[in-house]
Amino acid sequence: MASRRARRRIPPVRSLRVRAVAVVVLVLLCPPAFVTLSAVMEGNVEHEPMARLEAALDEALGRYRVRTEVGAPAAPSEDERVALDAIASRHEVWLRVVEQGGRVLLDLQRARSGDVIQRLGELVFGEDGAPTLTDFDSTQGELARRPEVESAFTGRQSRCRTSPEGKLLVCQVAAAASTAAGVAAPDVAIHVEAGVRRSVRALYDLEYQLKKLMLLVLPVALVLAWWLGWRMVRPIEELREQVLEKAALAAPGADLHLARRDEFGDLAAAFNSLLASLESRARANEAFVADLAHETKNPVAAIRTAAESLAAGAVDAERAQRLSKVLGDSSARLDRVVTQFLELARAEAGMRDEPREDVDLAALARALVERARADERHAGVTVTCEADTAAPVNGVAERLEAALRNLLDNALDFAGAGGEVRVAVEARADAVAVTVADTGPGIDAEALPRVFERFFTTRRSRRGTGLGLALVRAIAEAHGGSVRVASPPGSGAVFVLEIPR
Amino acid sequence: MGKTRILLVDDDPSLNDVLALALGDAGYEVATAEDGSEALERLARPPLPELIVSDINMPVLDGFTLLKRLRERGSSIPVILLTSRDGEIDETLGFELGADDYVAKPFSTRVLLARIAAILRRDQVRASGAEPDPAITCGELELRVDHMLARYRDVLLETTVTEFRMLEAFARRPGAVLSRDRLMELGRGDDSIVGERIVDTYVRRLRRKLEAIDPGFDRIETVVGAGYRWKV
Repeated sequence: MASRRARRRIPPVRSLRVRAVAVVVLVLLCPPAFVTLSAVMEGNVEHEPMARLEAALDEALGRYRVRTEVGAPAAPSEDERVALDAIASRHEVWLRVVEQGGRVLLDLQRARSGDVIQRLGELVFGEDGAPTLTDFDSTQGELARRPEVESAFTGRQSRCRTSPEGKLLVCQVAAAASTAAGVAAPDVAIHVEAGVRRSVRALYDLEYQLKKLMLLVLPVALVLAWWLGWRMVRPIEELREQVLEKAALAAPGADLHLARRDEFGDLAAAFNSLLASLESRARANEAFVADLAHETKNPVAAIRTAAESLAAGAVDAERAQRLSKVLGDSSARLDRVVTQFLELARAEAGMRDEPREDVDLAALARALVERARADERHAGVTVTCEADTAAPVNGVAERLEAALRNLLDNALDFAGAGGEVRVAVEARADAVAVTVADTGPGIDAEALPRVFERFFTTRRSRRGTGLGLALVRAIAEAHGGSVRVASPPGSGAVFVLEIPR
Repeated sequence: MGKTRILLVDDDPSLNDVLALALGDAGYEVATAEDGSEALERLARPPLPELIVSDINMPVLDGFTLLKRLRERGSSIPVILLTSRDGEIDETLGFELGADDYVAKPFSTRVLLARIAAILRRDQVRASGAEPDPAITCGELELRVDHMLARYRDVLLETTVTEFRMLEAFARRPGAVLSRDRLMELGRGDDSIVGERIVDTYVRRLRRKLEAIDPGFDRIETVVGAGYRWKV
């Protein structure tokens, strides 16, 4: 069921394969699209200088009146010259005052040489080699003889033309100047000119070639894109199939197979480690449950046998007492096993939901030792405690107490009457170490590595559940710490619990 | 003749106590030990028990080790193992070490008593040197029920009590399909809740023992969905 849901169809927009093709097509379409777009923009650009020129011409006509001296037009006065210069500078144009068929009376070249966009263009496309406005103008012959100036006396003239390479657009307007009062012939014209460089124009001219090239490259690119998508998507699909198959298995092995040495191979390896860790966790859970079942069967067997014994017939008082003790002990044992199991399960899961606080292990040790001394069951055991300086750690208070108590109880049991138990708490820079040593019989080298296993016990008569030391280890590990044991021959056992600060 | 002595070895004092009571009621004289090493101490001096009932999982010395040490000493006291893990490993190990039977915890007292009685009776019959009882034959299989002796192609088959009872169930009903429940009932007189897997384990072990005599053995047939049948 789950696998069917996971196998839903991916909408084409989301498919990596389709996306790869789309990206390639987009990239291919970029150059012609750019050229087409800039052509449209340049069309707008042509209107811009013309408006500027017209404005400059109008202002200039308003500020200048032609005067004459000795039958010929006079050069503009100083005042007019300054005013016209200001106009030319403001509009960034080349403004000239020219006599019909003769001299240039005033020449103000204030056209800008290039704007920010222009420089940016040069940065991207390199020097475009466009002529300057002055260079271009000098190829146009004497100003007074140019048709636009000659016709200016019959009406206002305006036109744009490009340089032969098409890289410079030059626009000009011209009109006859009005005369001062009492002056006869209006034979002076004002000519205003400006240039716009068209660096993209060069690419624009390549548009056709670009499109032709694109058509040639497109099939190759499409095949390449499809192949790339396939290379990328194939292993993902392969991996997905295998993972879905695993999902349906009760015991998926960590054997996803993808014969690739690239990132997909790594991904498969990562999945395998995930599977392996899940598997080992499942196995640990299974062992945990098996242990629980095993451990509950003893008391259940006793209870069942007692029940059958009761059912068998008449029961005298002594027998009733024995049976009731068996029932009581067994149910208490069942309860203890189940409770400790839950505690162990929580500790082994890391106790994530339990609130942590600062716990002084030294104070805890002192309190536990005090209680042990007062306990009449351990009256014959001498308990010493070296825990004077505070030893705070961050942890779950009652769990840490349980860990210390289990270590202490264990030591007290094994020390036995006449024995000694030493508890020492040492606060180091990075961790707090609690040492619990007893003068009991010690632990066989053979049993030493197993003492922290669940249900491993060397105690007779099932006084413990065999879970105490397993719980100590689980609690230590849940706090990022550890517990070690040593048993030098002939000197009892030494447990060291370390909890990082 | 005095009472039959039974040594009870289990690390759970409650179970020991209540079992001692039940076995005492059944007329046995019961001694208890809390683990294998204590049991070995007891076995070192007379009076020896006629039968041992031992737990497997015990501290200090477990049931398997106890059994092994016992057999190494050349003792043939019959042993019934009590186990609380129904894993096949436990069983297999137990049987190969020479246990006479095993009972899974929690068990019914009746079943345990029946197993004890069956083993004791077998030993009694064998020891008495009585005339062999008439054989049940089923093809090449020959069973002497009282002596609990099984022969296949005239080769003696080492079996536990339960295995023998199963063989007997097959031999008395050649060709009939026996369900797992029925086999368990006939083989063990057991109505306790046990996994059907245990029946499969028994059958597998029987097949293996018979294959040791005849590599081509295929008389015990699995009937899918129904159980097993002795093929005629």
